Amino acid sequence: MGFMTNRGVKAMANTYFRADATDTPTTFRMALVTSAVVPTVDTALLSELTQIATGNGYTTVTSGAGLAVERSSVGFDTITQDDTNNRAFVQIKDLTWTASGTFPASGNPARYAVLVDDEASPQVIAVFDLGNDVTLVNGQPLILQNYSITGTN
Amino acid sequence: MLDGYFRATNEPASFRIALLVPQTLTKATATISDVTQIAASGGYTAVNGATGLTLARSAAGWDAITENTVLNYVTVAMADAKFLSTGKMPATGESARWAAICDAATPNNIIAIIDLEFPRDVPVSGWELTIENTTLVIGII
Repeated sequence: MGFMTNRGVKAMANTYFRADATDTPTTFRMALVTSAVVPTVDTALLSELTQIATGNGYTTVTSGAGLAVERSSVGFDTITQDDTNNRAFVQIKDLTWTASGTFPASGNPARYAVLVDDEASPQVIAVFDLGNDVTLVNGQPLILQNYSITGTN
Repeated sequence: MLDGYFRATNEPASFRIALLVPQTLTKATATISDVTQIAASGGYTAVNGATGLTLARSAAGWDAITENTVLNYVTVAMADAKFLSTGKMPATGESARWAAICDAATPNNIIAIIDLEFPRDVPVSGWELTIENTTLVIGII
Protein backbone atom coordinates (compact mmCIF):
# COMPACT_ATOMS: atom_id res chain seq x y z
CA MET A 1 0.00 0.00 0.00
CA GLY A 2 2.80 2.39 0.84
CA PHE A 3 6.54 2.72 1.08
CA MET A 4 9.16 4.64 3.00
CA THR A 5 11.42 6.97 1.08
CA ASN A 6 15.21 6.91 1.28
CA ARG A 7 14.98 10.21 3.13
CA GLY A 8 12.48 8.73 5.56
CA VAL A 9 14.73 5.79 6.37
CA LYS A 10 17.65 8.13 6.84
CA ALA A 11 15.66 10.36 9.18
CA MET A 12 14.53 7.31 11.13
CA ALA A 13 18.07 5.95 11.46
CA ASN A 14 19.43 9.38 12.32
CA THR A 15 16.84 9.71 15.07
CA TYR A 16 17.19 6.21 16.47
CA PHE A 17 20.94 5.78 16.42
CA ARG A 18 22.19 9.37 16.64
CA ALA A 19 19.35 11.26 18.39
CA ASP A 20 19.81 13.89 15.72
CA ALA A 21 17.84 16.96 16.82
CA THR A 22 16.97 18.12 13.32
CA ASP A 23 15.70 14.77 12.11
CA THR A 24 13.75 14.00 15.28
CA PRO A 25 10.23 15.26 14.64
CA THR A 26 7.87 16.71 17.19
CA THR A 27 4.96 15.61 15.06
CA PHE A 28 4.21 14.24 11.63
CA ARG A 29 1.69 15.50 9.09
CA MET A 30 -0.18 13.87 6.23
CA ALA A 31 -0.42 15.76 2.95
CA LEU A 32 -2.46 15.02 -0.15
CA VAL A 33 -0.70 15.47 -3.45
CA THR A 34 -1.69 15.23 -7.08
CA SER A 35 -0.22 12.97 -9.77
CA ALA A 36 1.49 15.93 -11.42
CA VAL A 37 4.74 14.69 -9.88
CA VAL A 38 4.71 11.02 -8.90
CA PRO A 39 6.46 10.47 -5.57
CA THR A 40 9.18 7.81 -5.54
CA VAL A 41 11.62 6.40 -2.98
CA ASP A 42 13.96 9.22 -4.00
CA THR A 43 11.47 11.96 -3.18
CA ALA A 44 13.05 13.89 -0.35
CA LEU A 45 11.01 17.03 0.28
CA LEU A 46 7.33 17.87 0.17
CA SER A 47 8.24 20.89 -1.93
CA GLU A 48 9.11 18.51 -4.79
CA LEU A 49 5.46 17.47 -5.00
CA THR A 50 2.22 19.30 -5.77
CA GLN A 51 -0.29 19.44 -2.96
CA ILE A 52 -3.96 19.72 -3.79
CA ALA A 53 -5.48 23.17 -3.50
CA THR A 54 -6.10 24.44 -0.02
CA GLY A 55 -9.63 25.10 1.16
CA ASN A 56 -12.93 23.21 1.41
CA GLY A 57 -11.57 20.92 4.10
CA TYR A 58 -7.93 20.69 3.11
CA THR A 59 -5.23 22.72 4.82
CA THR A 60 -1.93 22.89 2.97
CA VAL A 61 0.77 21.06 4.89
CA THR A 62 3.72 23.12 6.08
CA SER A 63 6.05 22.63 9.03
CA GLY A 64 3.38 24.03 11.32
CA ALA A 65 0.07 23.40 9.58
CA GLY A 66 -1.99 20.62 8.09
CA LEU A 67 -3.42 17.37 9.37
CA ALA A 68 -1.22 16.22 12.25
CA VAL A 69 -0.20 12.67 13.07
CA GLU A 70 1.12 12.68 16.61
CA ARG A 71 4.56 11.16 17.20
CA SER A 72 3.19 8.81 19.81
CA SER A 73 1.02 5.76 20.27
CA VAL A 74 -1.91 8.06 19.48
CA GLY A 75 -0.69 8.91 16.00
CA PHE A 76 0.69 5.44 15.38
CA ASP A 77 -1.70 3.25 17.27
CA THR A 78 -0.33 -0.23 16.63
CA ILE A 79 3.12 -1.72 16.22
CA THR A 80 3.66 -5.36 15.41
CA GLN A 81 6.70 -7.63 15.23
CA ASP A 82 6.29 -10.52 12.80
CA ASP A 83 9.00 -13.10 13.47
CA THR A 84 7.62 -15.48 10.87
CA ASN A 85 8.11 -13.09 7.99
CA ASN A 86 10.95 -11.10 9.59
CA ARG A 87 9.30 -7.72 9.53
CA ALA A 88 7.64 -5.14 11.72
CA PHE A 89 4.96 -2.68 10.90
CA VAL A 90 3.55 0.39 12.52
CA GLN A 91 -0.02 1.42 11.81
CA ILE A 92 -1.14 5.02 11.47
CA LYS A 93 -4.33 6.13 13.17
CA ASP A 94 -7.29 6.65 10.88
CA LEU A 95 -7.15 10.06 9.21
CA THR A 96 -10.14 11.94 7.82
CA TRP A 97 -10.60 14.98 5.65
CA THR A 98 -14.21 16.10 5.22
CA ALA A 99 -15.14 18.15 2.17
CA SER A 100 -16.82 21.49 2.81
CA GLY A 101 -17.56 22.09 -0.83
CA THR A 102 -15.92 20.61 -3.87
CA PHE A 103 -12.72 18.86 -2.82
CA PRO A 104 -10.18 19.83 -3.86
CA ALA A 105 -11.34 23.41 -4.03
CA SER A 106 -9.70 23.72 -7.45
CA GLY A 107 -7.11 22.06 -9.62
CA ASN A 108 -6.14 18.43 -9.84
CA PRO A 109 -7.50 15.70 -7.56
CA ALA A 110 -5.61 13.90 -4.81
CA ARG A 111 -3.75 10.76 -5.86
CA TYR A 112 -1.19 10.18 -3.10
CA ALA A 113 -1.00 10.72 0.63
CA VAL A 114 2.48 11.53 1.91
CA LEU A 115 3.63 11.41 5.50
CA VAL A 116 6.06 14.22 6.26
CA ASP A 117 7.98 15.46 9.27
CA ASP A 118 7.89 18.98 10.69
CA GLU A 119 11.18 20.37 9.48
CA ALA A 120 11.11 23.87 8.02
CA SER A 121 11.03 22.23 4.61
CA PRO A 122 9.14 19.05 5.46
CA GLN A 123 10.83 15.78 4.49
CA VAL A 124 8.78 13.04 2.85
CA ILE A 125 8.92 10.00 5.13
CA ALA A 126 6.42 7.66 3.50
CA VAL A 127 4.13 7.58 0.48
CA PHE A 128 0.73 5.94 0.06
CA ASP A 129 -1.04 5.48 -3.27
CA LEU A 130 -4.74 6.20 -2.96
CA GLY A 131 -5.35 3.89 -5.93
CA ASN A 132 -7.07 6.45 -8.10
CA ASP A 133 -7.66 10.17 -8.34
CA VAL A 134 -9.89 11.29 -5.49
CA THR A 135 -12.40 14.12 -5.53
CA LEU A 136 -15.17 14.66 -3.00
CA VAL A 137 -18.50 16.41 -2.88
CA ASN A 138 -19.63 18.61 -0.04
CA GLY A 139 -19.85 16.62 3.20
CA GLN A 140 -18.09 13.55 1.87
CA PRO A 141 -15.12 12.25 3.88
CA LEU A 142 -11.80 10.92 2.66
CA ILE A 143 -10.67 8.39 5.23
CA LEU A 144 -7.24 6.76 5.35
CA GLN A 145 -7.88 3.66 7.40
CA ASN A 146 -5.36 1.14 8.72
CA TYR A 147 -2.48 2.55 6.70
CA SER A 148 0.81 1.07 7.84
CA ILE A 149 4.54 1.36 7.34
CA THR A 150 6.56 -1.83 7.12
CA GLY A 151 10.17 -2.41 8.05
CA THR A 152 12.07 -5.60 7.28
CA ASN A 153 15.56 -7.00 7.74
CA MET B 1 13.47 1.62 15.33
CA LEU B 2 9.92 2.07 14.02
CA ASP B 3 8.71 2.35 17.60
CA GLY B 4 11.30 4.96 18.49
CA TYR B 5 10.94 7.11 15.41
CA PHE B 6 7.20 7.10 14.89
CA ARG B 7 5.92 6.64 18.45
CA ALA B 8 8.73 8.18 20.52
CA THR B 9 8.68 4.94 22.51
CA ASN B 10 11.55 2.69 23.54
CA GLU B 11 14.14 5.17 22.36
CA PRO B 12 17.46 4.04 23.85
CA ALA B 13 19.46 6.44 25.98
CA SER B 14 22.56 4.67 24.67
CA PHE B 15 23.59 1.36 23.19
CA ARG B 16 25.63 -1.58 24.52
CA ILE B 17 27.93 -3.99 22.72
CA ALA B 18 27.93 -7.60 23.86
CA LEU B 19 30.30 -10.38 22.86
CA LEU B 20 28.63 -13.73 22.27
CA VAL B 21 29.99 -17.25 22.18
CA PRO B 22 29.41 -19.43 19.11
CA GLN B 23 25.69 -20.16 18.83
CA THR B 24 22.85 -20.08 16.35
CA LEU B 25 21.30 -16.64 16.01
CA THR B 26 18.31 -15.68 13.93
CA LYS B 27 16.41 -12.54 13.02
CA ALA B 28 13.94 -13.53 15.70
CA THR B 29 16.60 -13.38 18.43
CA ALA B 30 15.11 -10.69 20.59
CA THR B 31 16.94 -9.94 23.82
CA ILE B 32 20.23 -10.51 25.59
CA SER B 33 18.43 -13.13 27.65
CA ASP B 34 18.10 -15.26 24.51
CA VAL B 35 21.86 -15.53 23.92
CA THR B 36 25.03 -16.58 25.73
CA GLN B 37 27.72 -13.99 26.31
CA ILE B 38 31.39 -14.78 26.83
CA ALA B 39 32.44 -15.11 30.45
CA ALA B 40 32.60 -11.81 32.32
CA SER B 41 36.32 -11.84 32.87
CA GLY B 42 39.62 -10.50 31.62
CA GLY B 43 38.13 -7.04 31.07
CA TYR B 44 34.80 -8.07 29.63
CA THR B 45 31.73 -6.81 31.47
CA ALA B 46 28.58 -8.69 30.59
CA VAL B 47 25.83 -6.61 29.06
CA ASN B 48 22.90 -6.47 31.43
CA GLY B 49 20.66 -3.44 31.34
CA ALA B 50 22.88 -0.42 31.89
CA THR B 51 26.13 -2.36 32.29
CA GLY B 52 28.53 -3.30 29.54
CA LEU B 53 30.51 -1.46 26.89
CA THR B 54 28.59 1.69 25.98
CA LEU B 55 28.08 3.13 22.54
CA ALA B 56 26.68 6.65 22.59
CA ARG B 57 23.36 7.42 20.94
CA SER B 58 24.82 10.35 19.07
CA ALA B 59 27.09 11.25 16.21
CA ALA B 60 29.96 10.16 18.47
CA GLY B 61 28.66 6.60 18.69
CA TRP B 62 27.51 6.51 15.09
CA ASP B 63 29.91 8.66 13.19
CA ALA B 64 28.41 8.68 9.69
CA ILE B 65 25.05 8.25 8.04
CA THR B 66 24.62 8.00 4.29
CA GLU B 67 21.59 7.96 2.02
CA ASN B 68 22.10 5.99 -1.20
CA THR B 69 19.40 7.09 -3.63
CA VAL B 70 20.73 4.89 -6.43
CA LEU B 71 20.52 1.54 -4.68
CA ASN B 72 17.91 2.68 -2.16
CA TYR B 73 19.43 2.06 1.21
CA VAL B 74 20.81 3.98 4.14
CA THR B 75 24.04 3.13 5.94
CA VAL B 76 24.90 4.01 9.51
CA ALA B 77 28.56 3.64 10.48
CA MET B 78 29.32 2.63 14.06
CA ALA B 79 32.23 4.12 15.93
CA ASP B 80 34.98 1.65 16.78
CA ALA B 81 34.17 -0.43 19.86
CA LYS B 82 37.20 -1.43 21.92
CA PHE B 83 37.35 -4.10 24.61
CA LEU B 84 40.54 -3.65 26.62
CA SER B 85 41.71 -6.85 28.25
CA THR B 86 42.95 -7.08 31.82
CA GLY B 87 44.05 -10.65 31.34
CA LYS B 88 43.05 -13.38 28.96
CA MET B 89 39.62 -12.39 27.69
CA PRO B 90 37.58 -14.41 28.23
CA ALA B 91 39.45 -16.06 31.06
CA THR B 92 37.25 -19.13 30.84
CA GLY B 93 34.78 -20.67 28.46
CA GLU B 94 34.27 -20.13 24.77
CA SER B 95 35.68 -17.27 22.72
CA ALA B 96 33.67 -14.48 21.13
CA ARG B 97 32.11 -15.39 17.79
CA TRP B 98 29.48 -12.66 17.49
CA ALA B 99 28.96 -9.13 18.71
CA ALA B 100 25.48 -7.84 19.46
CA ILE B 101 24.41 -4.23 19.38
CA CYS B 102 21.82 -3.79 22.09
CA ASP B 103 19.79 -1.03 23.64
CA ALA B 104 20.04 -0.30 27.37
CA ALA B 105 16.69 -1.73 28.41
CA THR B 106 16.32 -4.60 30.86
CA PRO B 107 16.62 -7.09 29.33
CA ASN B 108 18.55 -5.44 26.52
CA ASN B 109 16.87 -5.69 23.13
CA ILE B 110 19.23 -6.90 20.41
CA ILE B 111 19.21 -4.42 17.56
CA ALA B 112 21.83 -5.92 15.27
CA ILE B 113 24.35 -8.77 15.13
CA ILE B 114 27.93 -8.50 13.90
CA ASP B 115 29.67 -11.61 12.58
CA LEU B 116 33.24 -11.78 13.92
CA GLU B 117 33.89 -14.53 11.34
CA PHE B 118 35.74 -16.86 13.71
CA PRO B 119 36.13 -17.25 17.48
CA ARG B 120 38.13 -14.40 18.98
CA ASP B 121 39.84 -13.92 22.29
CA VAL B 122 42.51 -11.63 23.67
CA PRO B 123 45.43 -13.62 25.05
CA VAL B 124 47.12 -11.15 27.37
CA SER B 125 46.39 -8.10 29.47
CA GLY B 126 46.52 -4.71 27.76
CA TRP B 127 45.54 -5.90 24.32
CA GLU B 128 42.34 -4.79 22.68
CA LEU B 129 39.62 -6.50 20.76
CA THR B 130 38.39 -3.78 18.42
CA ILE B 131 35.25 -3.93 16.33
CA GLU B 132 35.89 -1.37 13.65
CA ASN B 133 34.43 -0.15 10.39
CA THR B 134 31.04 -1.66 11.14
CA THR B 135 28.16 -0.37 9.10
CA LEU B 136 24.48 -1.17 9.38
CA VAL B 137 22.63 -1.22 6.08
CA ILE B 138 18.96 -0.35 6.23
CA GLY B 139 16.89 -1.02 3.16
CA ILE B 140 13.76 0.51 1.79
CA ILE B 141 10.33 -1.06 1.82
